[in-house]
Amino acid sequence: MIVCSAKLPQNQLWRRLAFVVACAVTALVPLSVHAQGPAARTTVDGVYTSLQATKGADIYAMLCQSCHSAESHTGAPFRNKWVGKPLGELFAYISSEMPKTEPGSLSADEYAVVLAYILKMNGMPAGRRTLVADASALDSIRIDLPKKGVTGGSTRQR
Amino acid sequence: MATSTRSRQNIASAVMGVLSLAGVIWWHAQALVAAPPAPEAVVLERGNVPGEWRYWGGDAWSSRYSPLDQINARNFDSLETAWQWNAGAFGKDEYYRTTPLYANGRLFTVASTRRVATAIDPETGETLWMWRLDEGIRWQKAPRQFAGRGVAYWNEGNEERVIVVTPGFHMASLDAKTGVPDPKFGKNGIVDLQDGLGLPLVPLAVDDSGPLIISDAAPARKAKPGETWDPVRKIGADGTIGIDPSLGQIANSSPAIIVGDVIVVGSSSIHGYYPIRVRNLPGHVRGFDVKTGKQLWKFNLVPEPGEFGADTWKNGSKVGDEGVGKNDAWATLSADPELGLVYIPVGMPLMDEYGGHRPGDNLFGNSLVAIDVKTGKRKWHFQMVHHDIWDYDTPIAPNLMDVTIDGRARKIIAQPTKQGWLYVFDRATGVPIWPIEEKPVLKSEVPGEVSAPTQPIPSKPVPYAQQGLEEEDLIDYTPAIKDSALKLARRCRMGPYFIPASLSDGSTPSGLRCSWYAPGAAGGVNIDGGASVDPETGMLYVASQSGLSTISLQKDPCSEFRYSSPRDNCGLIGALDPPPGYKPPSERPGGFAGRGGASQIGGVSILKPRELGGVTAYNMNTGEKAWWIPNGGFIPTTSRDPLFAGVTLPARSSAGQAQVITTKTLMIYGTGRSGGVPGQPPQLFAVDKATGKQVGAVGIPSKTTAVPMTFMHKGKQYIVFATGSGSNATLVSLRLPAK
Ligand code: HEC
Repeated sequence: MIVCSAKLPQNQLWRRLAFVVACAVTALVPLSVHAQGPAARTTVDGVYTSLQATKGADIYAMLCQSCHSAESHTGAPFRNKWVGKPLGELFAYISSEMPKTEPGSLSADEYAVVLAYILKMNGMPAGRRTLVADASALDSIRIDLPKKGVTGGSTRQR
Repeated sequence: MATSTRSRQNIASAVMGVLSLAGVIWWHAQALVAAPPAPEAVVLERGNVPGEWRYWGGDAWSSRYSPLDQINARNFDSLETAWQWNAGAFGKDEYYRTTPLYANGRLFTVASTRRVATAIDPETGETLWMWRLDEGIRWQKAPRQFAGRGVAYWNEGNEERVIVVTPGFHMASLDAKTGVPDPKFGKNGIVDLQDGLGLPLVPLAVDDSGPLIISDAAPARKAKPGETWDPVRKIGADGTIGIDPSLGQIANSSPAIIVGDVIVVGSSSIHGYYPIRVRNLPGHVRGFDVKTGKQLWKFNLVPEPGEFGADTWKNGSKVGDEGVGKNDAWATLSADPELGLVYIPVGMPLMDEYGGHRPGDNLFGNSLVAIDVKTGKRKWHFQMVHHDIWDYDTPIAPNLMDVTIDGRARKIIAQPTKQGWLYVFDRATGVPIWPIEEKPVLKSEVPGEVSAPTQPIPSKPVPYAQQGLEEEDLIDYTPAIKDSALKLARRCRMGPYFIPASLSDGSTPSGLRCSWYAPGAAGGVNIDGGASVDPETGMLYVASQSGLSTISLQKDPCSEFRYSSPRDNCGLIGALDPPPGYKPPSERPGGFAGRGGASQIGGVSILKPRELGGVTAYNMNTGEKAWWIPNGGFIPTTSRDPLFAGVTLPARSSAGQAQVITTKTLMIYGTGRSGGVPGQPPQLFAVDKATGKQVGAVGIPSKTTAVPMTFMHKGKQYIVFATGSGSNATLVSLRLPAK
């Protein structure tokens, strides 16, 4: 786990580069290694609060939805890209790349609650722990989908 | 007309108990407000009754100016909320992007992803009527499924009409007093805007119950013979008809503009962020008779073979030709009723960042086009970006002004743009007021991309947003800081402006994996911002943002494009199958993270803070910049990075695009949805027009999400603006307290 939590500065670039290298190493290790670790937590363990997801839903509608629908963050696209990765990676991705046309324009806390909402969209349960706005800390959480529930389709109700 | 054969849940009916008639639903209450007699004795100013707000941009000239001054610097801070109108009650939405109209005693607006049209009592906020259309699949797969930017208004004698264009691309003419569709207009008050484009309409069907995804994934399709609707799985053919979705998608997001008796309406295409198909429908502008809905003319924004400009599409310009699509007139429009000209800001061609499938300048992409309202013929045009590969759509209605330049009275038009420049022309002839020179620009290194060798660069006024990235733009507080900034800057392609994207695998001769991108795809100016003017002084106030990000391309194995944004479409419905054994990149290819983040060291941008973005005032009599203010304030910059130890870092200006209007005595602005100083409560600001000094501020329930408007009703001046998103979408109305 430690290999993925780059200690380096808030310098996004360095941090990310370190992260890339470190995580590239981890990526070579089978994913089960994560699961065997004593403190292995995954996104099905209640890693955000429902209040965060509610706040995140508002921000999502305000700043993300013009280019996205739930379909782009759930189902096959999400499974292919994110399942098995450390949550910090998804946090780092949205923090440094989204919104696509104004990357990095939200505060770290705003990114954290939007992330909570993305987890909720994927059927991951809310819990009592607050999702922290820190990629390194989130690296100790693995992205996983709930056993039953949404794996293929979307959670959208329209 | 697209009446649906299936029953859809009608959110609004639950709310309001409306009548349903063959899919067209309205609810009216004529008696609620006694309509004042039509005030046509009043002389129109720029197409508007002074003190009203009859066009999206205030008047036909998009001045966003009101001569009112009941609300002024002395009393601005005491403004109170008169009422709030909950648009969320009509259904869900994204951010609420409407600017209502005020005409003849009523407010008119749109709400929800269905684009419900409504009239509101300006005094109480009570809903007077509502109208909505059930568009079935046409709505479900609409590329712009949101409330839209508003409606258009027309009157003659006692006849008053509200024209709304729906997400599914129908145009309705409603009686402004009752909301009842005008039976003399189109078919029962509705014109199908997918008709009249020279393409057959076919029965539509869907294979999934969701919307279109980002660009063109999960589209509708042509129905199979005899196909019916499955109400449980919500798939199949629902009886709606439209253009065959395999040709592309087309809809609308901004209101029409009415000049005389002609409704002028444009179109919106899909987002170009990462489309899958290298073909889509081209944009166009059409004129319709306001009384009958009859189509009078059509102007092709991708010229058809034989038309002027077709030779700027070297691979062909027909529907279905590779690379053809978009050039859509999705933004708001302006007009000069006296000259009989309508001004069309045109978006870019298909695919934002790679143009290899559409060699040539791609007219009328990224142009300002002046069209004769009566004939639909082009009077003049100016292409501001040739062969766009930066997503520099012309994003907003241009501003028309009468000014005095070098002692000569001039009729001008000023076009704010994403690319950070204001392009200024004689609006009768299209001749630039100040020289706009074709200057050589950097050449693309991306295989297959033939970038334009030159771009037109205005000599005046100075730009309002960061242009490209060069050494002198970098922070240099200490030699070490300068060194680090330069090192970081050199990782991506640098240049003065119009820097073409690099390949993320670094396989081009320079080996660079990214290019600096400033202004970025959101501007500069985008539809959220734009300019207001003061017709009395000739000042123009442009609200924009300024920043720095990076751009790089790669091959998406699941898209038809040779290159596109650095992610893949794989797994989306309708995307191509990935090649056998394909694994999504575990990191961004090239490992170079980060558009936004990449331009920072220790949380500090490598860009020198400058007076860019925010609100820039120009004196249009001279073309000189008069003053600049940030959008809501400054944000202190701090860093724990040892590089900055002992250095006092200058504050940076707040982000986002301000939303400005002008009145007799004030420039008024909201910070926009992503603007303002973090931690500060949402506010509406009043500014001295001559100096930019803040003279008032008032707390508002939440940030503005669209350009505000103002009007006088029963002796009171109101300011109304949209705010919120989702089920919180709301119109907020401010007025002075009763004495
Ligand atoms: C202007 C359009 C736009 C906006 C606004 C936007 N995105 Fe995106 N988003 C994209 C595009 C385009 C991609 C994929 C292309 C790329 O990687 O550059 C993407 C990709 C993503 C992905 C990865 C896709 C996947 O398969 O998982 C996530 C997660 C995401 N966005 C989240 C967000 C969030 C959260 C916001 C709001 C804070 C947001 N986006 C706002 C356009 C946008």
